[in-house]
Amino acid sequence: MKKILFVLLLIGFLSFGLFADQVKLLDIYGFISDDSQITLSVTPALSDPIDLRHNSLLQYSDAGNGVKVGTWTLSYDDLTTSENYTIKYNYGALESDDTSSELEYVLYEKVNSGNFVAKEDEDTSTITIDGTSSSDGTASRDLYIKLTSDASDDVFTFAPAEDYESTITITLLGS
Amino acid sequence: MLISLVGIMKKKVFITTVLIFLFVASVFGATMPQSGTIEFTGYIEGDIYFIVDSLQTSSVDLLSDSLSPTGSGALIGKWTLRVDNPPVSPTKFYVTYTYASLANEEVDDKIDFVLLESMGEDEESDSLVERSSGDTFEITNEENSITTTARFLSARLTDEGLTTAMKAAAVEYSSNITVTLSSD
Repeated sequence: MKKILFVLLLIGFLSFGLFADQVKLLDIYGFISDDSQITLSVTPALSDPIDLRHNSLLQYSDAGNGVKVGTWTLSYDDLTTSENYTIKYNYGALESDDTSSELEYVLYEKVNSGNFVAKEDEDTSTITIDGTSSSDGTASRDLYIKLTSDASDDVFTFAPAEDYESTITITLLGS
Repeated sequence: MLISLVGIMKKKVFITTVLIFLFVASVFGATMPQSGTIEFTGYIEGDIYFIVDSLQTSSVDLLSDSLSPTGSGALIGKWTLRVDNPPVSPTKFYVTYTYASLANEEVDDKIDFVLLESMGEDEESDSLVERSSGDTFEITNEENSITTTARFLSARLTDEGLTTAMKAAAVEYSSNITVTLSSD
């Protein structure tokens, strides 16, 4: 009996591809997790290289909040509970290969209150998304940078270079 | 009967496959890190400021003691060179003086003088450097520094110039001194 059942199963699997067009009805049962619909997107704000010496907003002594470099956005659908999500920042100094020099800077996250919170490399932020309330389905933060005190001095003495570059990585670690 | 059994098996296989897919997606979808990057790029430009100021406010008596060949000279000007963000490799800058004798249209005399270069406004005579027309002052800029160099310029007559100056009285003697900056 077992052998017959095995043969029948084997025939069933083999004939699956051959007779696929004979399927008349298919019921699918499943669910969608709240978390599966969270998406992180990152949008740069600057399209051209910035003048590191003459841009006053970038300097440490400036009373402002630096230069806006981008925005990250969490988009979510079908969230029915309140969840905390962790965003992690990774970045290094501005580096020039041409002159082998580095310029340190600090990343600032503009929070909902309008305040600016400094974020060092490896720092994280916790974002609470309340899926039970009505909202537009997004949560976002603008990111700004300012040179450190030393770097603000260095830009006046370092050799001219056009290749200063730094990569800021924003990672959604999950809930 | 065989076709019916195959149909049942297809359904079960499909349902099982779909459920497994949804389960895996729900479990890993929530924990799989997502990330994005911002490329921040910038540049630093070099700047050079070269300023020549005239410090002589009125005509000077060419027979005064300060303009005599042994005097400290009459202060006539100053130049300032500031180099921000000098290049990585040391760069040489040259300040060159070009001038002719004091001349007057009314008389045919040419009064020779020599330019005197000093670091301060009231330098002693022995610290003055004589610069003839065509002479060059060399400045070397080092990396990672703001370099500001300045020199005061005075003038005094040569021995020949004093002899000529004593021949006839005249006003409006003049000479243009050109101060030129160049680099490697």
